[in-house]
Amino acid sequence: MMNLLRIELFKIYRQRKTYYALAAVFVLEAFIMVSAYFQGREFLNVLLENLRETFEFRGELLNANLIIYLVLNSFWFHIPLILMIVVSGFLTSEYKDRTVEATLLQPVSKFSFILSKYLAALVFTLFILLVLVASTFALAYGMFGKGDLVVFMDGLSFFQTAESLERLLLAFLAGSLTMVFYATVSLTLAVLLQEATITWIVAALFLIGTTLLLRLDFDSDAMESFFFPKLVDSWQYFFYPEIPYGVIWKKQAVLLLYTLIAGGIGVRIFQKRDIT
Amino acid sequence: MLTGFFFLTAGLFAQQVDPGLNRLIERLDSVTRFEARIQMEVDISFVTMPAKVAYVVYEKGGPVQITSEDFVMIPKRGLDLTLQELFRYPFMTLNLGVVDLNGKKCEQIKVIPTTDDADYSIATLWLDPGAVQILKSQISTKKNGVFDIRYGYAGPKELLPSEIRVELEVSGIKIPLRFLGKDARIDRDKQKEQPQEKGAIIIELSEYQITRL
Repeated sequence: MMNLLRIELFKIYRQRKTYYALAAVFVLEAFIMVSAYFQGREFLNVLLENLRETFEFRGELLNANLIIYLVLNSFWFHIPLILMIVVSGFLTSEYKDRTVEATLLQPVSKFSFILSKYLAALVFTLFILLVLVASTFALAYGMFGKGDLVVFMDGLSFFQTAESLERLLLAFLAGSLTMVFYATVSLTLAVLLQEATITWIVAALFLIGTTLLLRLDFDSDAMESFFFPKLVDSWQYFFYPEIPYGVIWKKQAVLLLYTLIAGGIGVRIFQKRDIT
Repeated sequence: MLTGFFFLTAGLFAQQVDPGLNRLIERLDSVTRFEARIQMEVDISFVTMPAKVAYVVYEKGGPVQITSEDFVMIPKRGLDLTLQELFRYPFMTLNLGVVDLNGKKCEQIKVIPTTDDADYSIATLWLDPGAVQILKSQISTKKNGVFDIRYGYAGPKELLPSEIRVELEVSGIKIPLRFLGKDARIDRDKQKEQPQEKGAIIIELSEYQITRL
């Protein structure tokens, strides 16, 4: 099993699309930082316009923590999209090149093969996130400097630098599970659909649907607790003035269960299907 | 004749300033410099902000300077502890007599600017005539709404307050459409209305260093 995983990771290391994914992450980061540099102040001015009538402000809100928060918000759509496209390609490219058959002609069980794919997808996802976090923090603190973080969550919340850093790191950590969920779903879609373009389209539709359903208010506790689109936002809860740890743990636990189920479905289908 | 006119107008102006207020102005005017540590807490329904620490420095004739390592929101009125902004332009006063303020007898005085240069239209002051301290002021500004300011002192002989509560009017915030965040839904009708609500800033002053004439 470990050998298979090593082979999968080596394949990822040698594949061009891995570097496209990294490049996409850096481009996204750069885009957010450049647009924040040029438009961030205007954006803050609009946000604080009414308060400016009665207050004078001292201190810089366009700082590293706000930039990191904006990058973190790419967890809504951009990062999952990049991950889903690349991760599903781990399997669809093997179907296309017919290397699945070649591999399974070796003394390798279907279960070990597909499980190594899921584990490689997990390692890849965590690696991309680690690169994202490290580069975002280094660039943001290097270019914009520290300062209070302002976010809009049922009103304006201001967090001091140390607290902002802690909340941002926790949010990235919680968001990692959401990204792993999307990566797992995309690999399961690859198992089901096999063809790259169709898998990408369905994966993108899944992501769009999830994002839209997240915004819908179902007025039901059960839906809020167990409907999967409602579980992908727990990282945002770290920006409420009082962090609702209970809600976050519950959402994370259910999302972890759904991730395992999605992965389990993919493994089961792959095992049952004839490889021709 | 010109000299006579000057004395006449100067006399009229002097009569327009309440003697109790004059005592306060003279007392505050003796401050040439002060610096203090301030701790500010925001009490506005839609703003959550931890208590912030800043330092205030005042040099006579200059503006109040505030510095902080953090982001701070400073009310546009309230930290003018020597009231120099209020009395910067010519004004007249009207004493409304003795009133009760939280169980304390004090003089209520209206301050009305007599030129258009002042950035307020009317101010009401509540003075403790015995301690010659200002206990409350209500300033109706021309552009920034009404500021209700209460002053607390460490003792009756203190010149400058140790606690200030500034109540002010604030409008709801505008959310830029591009702002990303959970629950950042925009109710356009509410956005247009922007109803005003009362908010407050509680300022504690300590570590005073006051230089007097």
